[in-house]
Amino acid sequence: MNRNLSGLIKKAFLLVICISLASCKKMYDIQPEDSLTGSQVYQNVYDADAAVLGIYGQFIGLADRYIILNELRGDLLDITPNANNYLKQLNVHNVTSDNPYADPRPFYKVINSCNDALKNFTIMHNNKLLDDNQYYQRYSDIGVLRCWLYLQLGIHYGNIPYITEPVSTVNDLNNEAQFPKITFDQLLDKLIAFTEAIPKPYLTQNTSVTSPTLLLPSGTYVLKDGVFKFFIHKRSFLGDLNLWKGNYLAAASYYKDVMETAGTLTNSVDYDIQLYDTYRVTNDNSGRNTLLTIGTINPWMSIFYNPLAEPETNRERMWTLPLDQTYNTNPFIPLFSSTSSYLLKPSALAINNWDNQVRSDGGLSDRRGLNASYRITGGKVEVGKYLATYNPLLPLSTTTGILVMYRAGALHLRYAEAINQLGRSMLAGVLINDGVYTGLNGQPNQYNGAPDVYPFNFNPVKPTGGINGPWYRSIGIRGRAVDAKVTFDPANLVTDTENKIIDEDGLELAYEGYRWADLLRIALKRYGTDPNYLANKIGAKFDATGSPDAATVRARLSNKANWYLPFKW
Amino acid sequence: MHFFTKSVKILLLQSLMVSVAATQLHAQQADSLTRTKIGLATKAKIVINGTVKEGATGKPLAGISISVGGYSAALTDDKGQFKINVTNYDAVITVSGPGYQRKVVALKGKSSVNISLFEEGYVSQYDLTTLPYSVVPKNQVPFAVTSINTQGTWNRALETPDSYLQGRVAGLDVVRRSGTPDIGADMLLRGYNSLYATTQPLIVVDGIIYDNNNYAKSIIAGHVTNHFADIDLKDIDNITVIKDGNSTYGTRGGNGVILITTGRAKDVATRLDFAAYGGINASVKSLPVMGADNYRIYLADVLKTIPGVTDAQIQAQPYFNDNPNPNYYTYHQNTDWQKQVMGSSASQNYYMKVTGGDNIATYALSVGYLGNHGLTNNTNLTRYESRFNATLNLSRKLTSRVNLAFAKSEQNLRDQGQAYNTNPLYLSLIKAPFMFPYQISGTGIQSPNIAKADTFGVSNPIAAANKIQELNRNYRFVGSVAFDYQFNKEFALKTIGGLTYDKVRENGFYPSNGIAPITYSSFVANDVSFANVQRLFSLYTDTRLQYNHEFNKSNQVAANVGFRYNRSDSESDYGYGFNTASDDFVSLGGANNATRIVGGSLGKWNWLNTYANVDYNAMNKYFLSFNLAVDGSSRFGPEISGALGINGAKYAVLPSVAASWLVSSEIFMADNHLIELLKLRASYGLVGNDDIGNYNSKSLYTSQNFLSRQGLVPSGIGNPGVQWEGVAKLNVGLDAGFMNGRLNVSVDVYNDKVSKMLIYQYANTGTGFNYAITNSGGMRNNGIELDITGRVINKAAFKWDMGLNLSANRNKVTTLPDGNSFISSYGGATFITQVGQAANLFYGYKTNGIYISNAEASASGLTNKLASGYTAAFQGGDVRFVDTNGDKVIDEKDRQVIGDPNPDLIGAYSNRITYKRWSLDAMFAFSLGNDIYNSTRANLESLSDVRNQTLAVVNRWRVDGQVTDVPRASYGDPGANSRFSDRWIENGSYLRLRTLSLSYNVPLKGNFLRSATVYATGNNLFTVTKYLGYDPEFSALGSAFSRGVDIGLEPMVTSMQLGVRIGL
Repeated sequence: MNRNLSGLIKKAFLLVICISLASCKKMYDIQPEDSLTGSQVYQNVYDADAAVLGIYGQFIGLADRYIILNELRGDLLDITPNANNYLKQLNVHNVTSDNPYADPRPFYKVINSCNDALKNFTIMHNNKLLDDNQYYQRYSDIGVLRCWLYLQLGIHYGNIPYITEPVSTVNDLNNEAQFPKITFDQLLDKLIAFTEAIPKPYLTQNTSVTSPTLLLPSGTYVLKDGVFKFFIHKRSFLGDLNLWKGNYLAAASYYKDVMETAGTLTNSVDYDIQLYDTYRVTNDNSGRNTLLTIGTINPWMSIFYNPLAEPETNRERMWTLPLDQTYNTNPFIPLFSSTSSYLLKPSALAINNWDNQVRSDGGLSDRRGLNASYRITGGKVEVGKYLATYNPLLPLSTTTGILVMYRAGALHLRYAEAINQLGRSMLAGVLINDGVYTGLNGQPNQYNGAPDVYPFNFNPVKPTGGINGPWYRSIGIRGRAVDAKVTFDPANLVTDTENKIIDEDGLELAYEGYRWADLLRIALKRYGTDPNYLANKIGAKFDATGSPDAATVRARLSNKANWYLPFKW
Repeated sequence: MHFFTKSVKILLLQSLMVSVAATQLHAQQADSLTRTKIGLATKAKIVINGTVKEGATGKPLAGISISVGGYSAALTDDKGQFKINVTNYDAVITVSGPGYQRKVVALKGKSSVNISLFEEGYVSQYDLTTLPYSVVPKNQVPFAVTSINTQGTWNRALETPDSYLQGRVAGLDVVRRSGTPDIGADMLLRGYNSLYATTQPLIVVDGIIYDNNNYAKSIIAGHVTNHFADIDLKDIDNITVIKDGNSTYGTRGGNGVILITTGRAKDVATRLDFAAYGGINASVKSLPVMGADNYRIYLADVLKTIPGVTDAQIQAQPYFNDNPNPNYYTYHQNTDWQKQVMGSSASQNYYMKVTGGDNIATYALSVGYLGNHGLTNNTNLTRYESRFNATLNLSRKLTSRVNLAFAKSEQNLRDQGQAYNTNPLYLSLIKAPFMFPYQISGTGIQSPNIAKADTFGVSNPIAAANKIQELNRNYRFVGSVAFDYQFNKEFALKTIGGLTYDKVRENGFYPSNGIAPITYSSFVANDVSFANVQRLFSLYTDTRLQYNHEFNKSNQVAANVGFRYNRSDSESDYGYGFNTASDDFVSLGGANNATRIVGGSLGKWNWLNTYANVDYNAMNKYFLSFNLAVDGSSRFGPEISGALGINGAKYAVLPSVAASWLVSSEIFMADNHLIELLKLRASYGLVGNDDIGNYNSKSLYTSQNFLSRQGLVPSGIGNPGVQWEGVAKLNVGLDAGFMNGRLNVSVDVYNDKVSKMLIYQYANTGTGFNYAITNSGGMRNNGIELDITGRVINKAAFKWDMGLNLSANRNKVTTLPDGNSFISSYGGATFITQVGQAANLFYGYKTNGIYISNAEASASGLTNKLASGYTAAFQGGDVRFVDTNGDKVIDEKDRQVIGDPNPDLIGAYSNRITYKRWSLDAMFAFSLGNDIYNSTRANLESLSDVRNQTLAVVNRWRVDGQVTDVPRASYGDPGANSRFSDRWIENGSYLRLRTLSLSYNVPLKGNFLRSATVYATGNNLFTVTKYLGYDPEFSALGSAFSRGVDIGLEPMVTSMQLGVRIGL
């Protein structure tokens, strides 16, 4: 030290230096104040909730993509002259990799959020920041949601990279080798392995009792079914996963468990449960309380627009997403409304399918068709399921809607598809026709002469004075639609029943996001016997309008490689 | 850089351990601190004789002070002769006297010297240059610097410091942002040194970093708050631009450093200077848009091309109904809308400065007022400024300096650029000329009420100019206190601490009357009120130990070690409200609750720069400077590979070295009378750019709502390795003075290599994100700069000084990740940045005329890929786009480089002529070889809708076989004839008489006035250019990706001021 340094200044100088050194670490580690860093989130259960809610918020953003991919690639939706070439590519199954609708990236964005949440939930659980219940509740929900996203990717892209860790490094941003692809079948194995590891109690849909902090009343959305049904319906998804894999008994079991929800749960602050009706396609004979396609205002349509808490439609809806104009724009209005962009419309084939149905009174045309699933406005056919509450004269204030992601109708059809493969074709037929009460003459179903067992057992008994069997109100898919029963070819029972189920899928579930998946699943299963199943199904859409594309589409889809979209890196 | 890591660690520690550093560094600086050393020399005294003459007349000068640094001093006698003792023949003599230039003369072994001096203010190689640690004559500086001693700039009343620098520094490309008063300029020193981080030089004012950045966008379209305008140019004494790798400012110095010194009292006498200016701003020449007659024909033409519209429907429109009807007068006017929204205006400026004091304290106090008007009607600027600089001699060893500055500006503005609903200049170009600004009754009587937005949904330009309210208020306080403690003749401790507080408040209101409503997803906004507050609080300290040591008269060392600490806090909050009760309720509070939009951002960052510097001077001929900075910043990631790490934090280690050889001081040059001075310089240094975002090293989460509940999702890929951008600057230069300083030449050649350049790197689909921010780019700038100044005529009464500076910069991208190119777009222009080419080249379609007929179009065999993804055939009247790849489809793959917005050559040519008491300054600025995308013309010749167009479209293609260069009118432009193509690329070269200033020094009698000068100044008097827009000079953003894109900002106007300055 220089002798000339006067003591005071020397000390002051050293002090300044020391302070600046000692605080170096803190000085350089500044946390942002208008966003959060990894070290600031995932501190408590509320942070975990925020992760779940954020993911669902992102997930809603996939709604239009989900519907476009699954319906336009199927046989029930067609493009209008307004549609751009990229929609046309989807329609004719000739998709280039620059097609924005076919970009898998938005799915991976949500998947990455899921991966990040799952990883951190586990860290929180290990650090005792989440108790077992809190952890499994959230982990299983987001884990199954991620599986749902991967199943979608598998359906549309075939071979895909299965990534379960959040992106952590910028070093391999563009290195495809970091993200190896697996086949659709391998993917199903992985998804099933993942979901089977979830403890069974946590497969129940999230409710406010099981996760009180996650589920809070919000705005116009009341706590109870209206809110809890925003979270994925896990058991039915597990049924779907097993159905894809060909594990029909497992699939049927999951579906049956869901159908019996009213037998395992009771009406409570959490659940709006009606013993004889919840998730069973029924007619409660109350006149008003029915989804039968009768009356001047077709009550069946209310599935797609009734308020979320409304009990009659709540028996049907299993998983819904809100499309609330206050928070998001509803992408389906411009897609489908003839007063807006009007890019997509019901296909002529779909309309023919409905119009050619015979009603139970002998009349023609399905009541689920005109003025329900589709409608005609100013000479233009529109998809009706998304436009019920939209008023073109109030274009800015009437766009709130809901997206029904899963419902009892779909559940019954999937269940029928599964049990048909297990030899219960007759029961499957009953479920899609007039339901187990009429179809089984009010008796528990029998198989090979003995009362059938779980997951095939139905009790529709309606004794006088005694306790009604839980299925006594069952009326079946076509029964509810007031359609005449279809008949099945006993010589070719399993295949014919399956064909009828797929036809019924189209009539009941059109434009709800199931169609391409349903056709693809059957096509994959029948590939050995009927390699042109998919080509013919989709080709029929173009035949119905006499479109010259019919031949080229058939040709492309006769090649299995063209069943999948190009995966854009 | 890795080389240095180890030794630097040691050095850093040393610098922090004062005791070690103090005993080990043997340094000395040749400045006034060593004056007490007289008599120390033991060598034999050598006596030097000399004479000093005036450069112009050759008459001897008496009373000129002669000194040999720290050794001896003398004055010239009546014959201009002097005698002075020196220790050896390497010594230099410093010559100075009131009213004359300061000169440093090398003896070169001679014992007698003849010196001629020009008057004070003559630009020479001996001008004092302000460096970060000292003030030295330019001939001793080893760096590429330009030092401007402003001489008060009393003749540049409306100029801001940044715009003033235009044309004054070779290598500094100053592009004024627009014609809005005080909006300043974007400054590029030797080209772009970054693509996504700041490109603007670091500004240091009186030792304090002057944060000139904006941390949020203005909510007034096209406006930029220019904090540089808060410094009154008349307060500035010196501006020094350091162009090469002086690394002392470390990661802040990547774009060069501009050091500014504001005025202090030069002596204790009380002086008062007062100046007043008044002037006029002219309007600009209107762009040639169609009048009502041509427009009606065009309108009918374009409406006809809407599919399904019949002639009868068009004729039924009220504006085509020529029969008497209630709307006849509404649609049968001929309005020159441009004249309605812009016009000439006035400006005024008052300024007063008082300096004085005593031997304990001196002060300089200045206050100023500026009132100016913009080109657009109802826009204006009011600025108040005050500055107080004091120097306190607290004790023999302790001095202190206090600087306080406060500025407030208030500016009424209007939207510019891409605000197509509210920009009055744009609206005045596209508004149907058959409409009228005011409502008109069915009988043709005009109402004073302005007309509403028209039937086409186009706002009334008058409403945009007169009824829209947009106010920007800016306040800035900068205060600093410095203490210098001189322990002894060798050691000094210098510290400065300062704070900057800046606030920008903006308010605006778009009325419903006259402005077209805006449709949002869930509501229609008839009126919009908005407000914005930006705050910056910054704390800055710079503390260093200075050491000077003189080994002997021929070897001197000066050294500094110290650290700079900067803490900054920024905040921005904005809000938009819609649909107030009426146009009289203009505040956010009156807006509808349900639809408010609020937002903002917060930023906080710390920077610690530890530095060391050694300057070595051998025999006044060899100069060596070594600088080292070790920078830590909260912005740097914790995992930067290869970087110095201390205690978990990563540091940038940035050394630089510079050397110069004063060849002319060698004895072998003694007899060369032509070359007075010749200096060779070379420097190499590493600097950096820390503008890499505050939090990019972290994985951040952003809020994502699920209905009304807020969730959190990852918002991007955090990059823990994110680091400063590095710039390695190599500079070789030459400074020369000829004929006793009558001709001065500086030449610099440089090569700046940017590495670790921030890039938005494409991310794999599997990540779910589109990109990640990585330091994966690189580019380089090569260039040459020439600066010539000289006295052409040198007579006692008539002097003519001329100056020319030229700079040419060539940019080349050297490294990019992924496909080695990326495309960006701004304002309708598309840029390509690819390895091997300049960073931002216009990338679009080449055209080759117009298809004269359908037959010719179909004969071409080309199809046109439309926005919908379909292809369609071309038809007659469509633009003939060039099929670059020969696939017969015109699509994005046919784009090619169609222009370069970077100039080939920029420069300025200046003249100063003095005749007796008159003096005339003229400066021409020019830019050569730069291309401009004229987006205004792209709008005005798109022929795609009901907007009015330029007169050129009268010549549009209408019938088969018509040969023209203007395509057909087609509503909605389905064939995209107006796509980004070379049709809109124009040569942006210009030559402009930037400033012409005449001043007259009034002869005074009596003692009441010390001086009186009268000024007449003209700005932007004429511009020679082929550019078809209003003005070829503009800069919308400082970024490379906006360069050359004319988005329709207010053009520069010709302005003239008369002023008077009085000294008491």
